[in-house]
Amino acid sequence: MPRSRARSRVRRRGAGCLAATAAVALLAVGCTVEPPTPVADEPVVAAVVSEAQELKILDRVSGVVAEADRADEARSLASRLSGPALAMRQAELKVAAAEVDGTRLTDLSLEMQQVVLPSEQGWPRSSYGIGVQPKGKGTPVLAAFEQASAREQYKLWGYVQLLPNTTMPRFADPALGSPAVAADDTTLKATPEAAVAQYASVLTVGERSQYAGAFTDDDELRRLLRSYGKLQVDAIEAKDGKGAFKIAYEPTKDPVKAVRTVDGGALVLGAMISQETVRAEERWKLAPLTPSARALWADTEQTNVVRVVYRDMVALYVPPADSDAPVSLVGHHRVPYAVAND
Amino acid sequence: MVQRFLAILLILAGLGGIGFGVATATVLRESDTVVATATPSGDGTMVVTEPGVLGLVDDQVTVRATVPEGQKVTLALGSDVDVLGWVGDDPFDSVTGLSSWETLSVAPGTAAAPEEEAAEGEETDEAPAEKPSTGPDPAGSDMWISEVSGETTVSMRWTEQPGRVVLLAAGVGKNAEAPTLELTWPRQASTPYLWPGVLGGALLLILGVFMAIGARRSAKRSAGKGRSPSAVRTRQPDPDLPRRDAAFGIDGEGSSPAGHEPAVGFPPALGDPAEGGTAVYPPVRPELPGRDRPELRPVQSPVQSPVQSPMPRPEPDLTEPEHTRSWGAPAPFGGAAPITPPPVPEQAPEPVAAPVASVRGIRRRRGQAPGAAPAAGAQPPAQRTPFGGTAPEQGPAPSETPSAAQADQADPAASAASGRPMTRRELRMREQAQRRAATGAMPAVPAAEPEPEPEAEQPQTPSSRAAAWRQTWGVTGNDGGN
Repeated sequence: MPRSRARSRVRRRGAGCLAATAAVALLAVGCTVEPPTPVADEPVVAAVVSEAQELKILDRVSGVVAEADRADEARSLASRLSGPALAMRQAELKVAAAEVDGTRLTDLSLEMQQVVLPSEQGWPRSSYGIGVQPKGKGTPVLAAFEQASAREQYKLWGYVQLLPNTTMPRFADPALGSPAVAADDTTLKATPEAAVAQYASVLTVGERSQYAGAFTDDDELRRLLRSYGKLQVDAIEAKDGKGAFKIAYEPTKDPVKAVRTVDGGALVLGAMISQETVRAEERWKLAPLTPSARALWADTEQTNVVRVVYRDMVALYVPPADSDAPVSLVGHHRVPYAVAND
Repeated sequence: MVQRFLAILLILAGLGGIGFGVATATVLRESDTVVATATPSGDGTMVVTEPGVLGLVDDQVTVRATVPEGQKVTLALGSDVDVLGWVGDDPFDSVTGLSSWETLSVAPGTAAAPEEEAAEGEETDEAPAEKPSTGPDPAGSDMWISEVSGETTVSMRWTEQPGRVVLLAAGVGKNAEAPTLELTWPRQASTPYLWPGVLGGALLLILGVFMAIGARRSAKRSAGKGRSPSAVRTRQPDPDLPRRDAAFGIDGEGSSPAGHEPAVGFPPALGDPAEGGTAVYPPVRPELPGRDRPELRPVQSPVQSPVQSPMPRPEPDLTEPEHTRSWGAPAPFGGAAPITPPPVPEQAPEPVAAPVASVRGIRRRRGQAPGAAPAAGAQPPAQRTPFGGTAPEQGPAPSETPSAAQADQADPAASAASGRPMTRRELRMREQAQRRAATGAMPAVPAAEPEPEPEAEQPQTPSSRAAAWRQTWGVTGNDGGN
């Protein structure tokens, strides 16, 4: 009897041990935690380029520009410049190489006081920057950048010098990003593409243009062209000749770039080509007036005709369709790139 | 019997609980890091994580990508839109999460959103123009927040930020393969079961022990009733009772037999040490000294608290271990052999701390002492300020150069003082110890200089000395000001 009791005690003890072990094992199993599942932040409305990224981009672009300036060669520009900006900078470098009295390169150090960042998630993406006031004379630069596709880099697409005393339209916060405006956007007083074409017409024929009414009465560029033409004609007439100055503007095939402003309008950048012709009487021998054109002219034979072809870029503010404000010029840039004597 | 079994069960469960609690904090403790690996499956050359995967376990993640030996691999971090836009129509693997704590789940990636595909039109013309086996290199894109390229293995760290940042890992070049991705997160390896396990186990254990005691006692009681002879037998050899009985003149011989035995059931509970009682009382006894200890402490603490009393103790206590402990460098007092090492490491930590300036500060203070004694001496922290003291103009120039070396020696003390206050006396002790250690190999110059310093210090108000002493003893009343 005692033996059986002892045996049962042993058995019970064993059962107890087993139970305890099982409990521990269960606890151990119970405490293993399942791996978490990823929780992604919801997509938010924000610029697709951060300001930090934009600064990096600006640095890289200006670095390439500076390098090309130093080496005085335009080939390396293509890695960070595209479209009208590439053509214009190449023209500038060409003039700079021909010029004897130093260069007239546009300052593209790209130190910005304000950036306008894209909000579209797709490509191409465009960003803009408004430069700081340069130390010497001159006005800030407005530059446009484009990333044509995801695997390409941001490249300087175009740049203009802002007009003196210009008030830039307001843009959305860089953190939010500003939407691009399509070339045929109809919410504006004129579609961006049309605005550039109309402005070309206004520049060419002035007040006689049918679009003159849509633009500000007069602007810096039109005054400049008028006075420049007058200067040349006066120079001829001062010597009892008869001279004529003609200028023709024409948008290039480059697509225009436009970005929405806070008021619903758009800032539009468009590339143009202009050709100015100074014509005197038969026997006259003319030479270009401006140093840059003269540098290109070099030893071209002088005739009674001076034809200079420019690459132009204009920046226009196009107000929303329901606005009373006219389309206005905010900046422009022109670089001579070819001369002819016929 | 059931009670005993239950007691054993409880004890076992208690031990098990304690063991389990300890085990969760040791053997079963989770690793401090989570390392998960993604092995690419598809035929693409790129692996992209889904938004949220990088911050899955912790904000800090270390990413490591490995490709076959000699191949190039690039890691890039960008927003999901940018990364998927860059990947475009090329096949890629998508890391969707953790399938286990060691494995990342990988699925063939889905192409970017339609609008992006449309935008990618021109670019996809270029990419497939290359051999499909040539992995495009995302390195250098303006869009990346961070990137790293290298051969075979590259790694980068990333602190997760708000937003949808994803990782692009790409094998680059000809015959490139998608890299194997390894994400490592730190993890707070908590031990939530340690204390519940230990405490709960202890409780069970105690319960079990008590139950065992109870069981044994009741068993004994029943045994006492049932098997009185055995109780008698155990009683008989006991030398005390009979003798006492004899001393009292009681007829012990007659009283001892069974007639007394029924009462035996009670006496053990009252403190009879015999029999099973020995197993019962030991657990009780340790509690008594424990109860005593708190009574002892108040006796001890007054010994420490009179620290505030002016100066009686410091001098006689010189050799007491507490003193050495107070600035953590017991070696100087330990004896000849261990003396030498400590000064060396202690000089090392203070190489740049403007030794000359500090010496100057000391001197200047000494010079000022007669005039400014009350003010300076009143504050115990004043002892420290001189070391960092500026205004070196007042420092006597002539004796500066010889004391430069000594300054280095004095300065460790000063630096020690900055951490833990140090009195002049301690300083002197150190000096002596160092001198002793140097056994005459060092010139007597250092010995000569520091000696007067404590003397110079003493003319100051006794309160400063008391304060210094207090600081030495770790009485922190004055530390608030530092």
